[in-house]
Amino acid sequence: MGGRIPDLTSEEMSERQKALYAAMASSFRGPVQGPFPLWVRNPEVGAQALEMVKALRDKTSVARPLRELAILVAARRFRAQYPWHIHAPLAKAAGLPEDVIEAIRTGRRPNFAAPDQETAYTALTELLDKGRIGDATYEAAEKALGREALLDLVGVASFYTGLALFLGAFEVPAPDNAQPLPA
Amino acid sequence: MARIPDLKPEEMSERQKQLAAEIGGPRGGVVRGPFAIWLRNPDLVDKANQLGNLLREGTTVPRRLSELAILVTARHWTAQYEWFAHENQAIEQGIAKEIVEAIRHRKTPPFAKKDEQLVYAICSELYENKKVSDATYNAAVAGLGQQMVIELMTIASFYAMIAMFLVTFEAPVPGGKLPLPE
Repeated sequence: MGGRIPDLTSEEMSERQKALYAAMASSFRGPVQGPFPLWVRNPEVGAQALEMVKALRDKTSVARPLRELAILVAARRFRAQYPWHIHAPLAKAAGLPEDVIEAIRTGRRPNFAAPDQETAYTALTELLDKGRIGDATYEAAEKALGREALLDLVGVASFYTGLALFLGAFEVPAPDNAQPLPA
Repeated sequence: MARIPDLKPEEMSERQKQLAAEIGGPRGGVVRGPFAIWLRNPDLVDKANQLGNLLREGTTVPRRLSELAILVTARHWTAQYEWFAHENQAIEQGIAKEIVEAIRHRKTPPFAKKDEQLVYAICSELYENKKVSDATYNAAVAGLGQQMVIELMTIASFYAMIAMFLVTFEAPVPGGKLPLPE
């Protein structure tokens, strides 16, 4: 897969690790890549990290386009190629407009047609750029999205920020070393 | 002033009450900080708490080093509550007070122990540059071992998540204190 940490071969894996690897493959119906092969190395932690990712996917009150928007904004901010590669198509499938995705990819502020997307984008970029959200932006976001959805939106953005840093530490590439995000 | 008020017991579902007891148990019966906020989504707080527990107890990273990584993380995001919750733990685990003070004031700490210096270097470089140079990465792997570096970065990224969550919702420190200067 490339990156600083080689994937474990199946001969190197314990039974516990093999079972986790299989659970990861079935959770995303695809190859085990990105952070997941690294998380297999401590299978107890890896199993719980997988549970966290699934809960962020399946158990939040934030609308899917907003959830994908949060992931893309975090991936772009930290230039994390792998999550962008995975989530740009999911964002499109969830209904996030292509011109919005393209603007984020190239580092421009998108022209939003959907006010909730604009509100979410404004709050998240303020958080990532300034390290906090000012009162006016926060209040606008809570009013527009509702408290529960805002909590989950920030939960998703925060998790994917941590993930982007983790991937950066080990130089984990996107499949085929794709570089969808320019410098 | 907290942006998200704590749930009152009468506002909690049975599941939230159960989770509050589970999470508060090892913390003197009090649910504060990120967990108090996150309790509003029981599925997420449950998973985050379990992951946090494993990162505390189920890795090869000594607590002394994980607490150091957490302080570097809290300082980077100026996450007041995270710093408050971990400052004393770091000192109890053996991080020297001068080191804690240096990190608090964004100064280079006077490390006497090589492993602490390696942890500080890889975490601060990651947060500053969003990546880690070959020299810093290779020194960390040579000094700590590959497995510990993977686990250390998992811990750092988890607490980075918690830090962002805390600063967004301005989670208050008990007594209204602000242990970190801007």
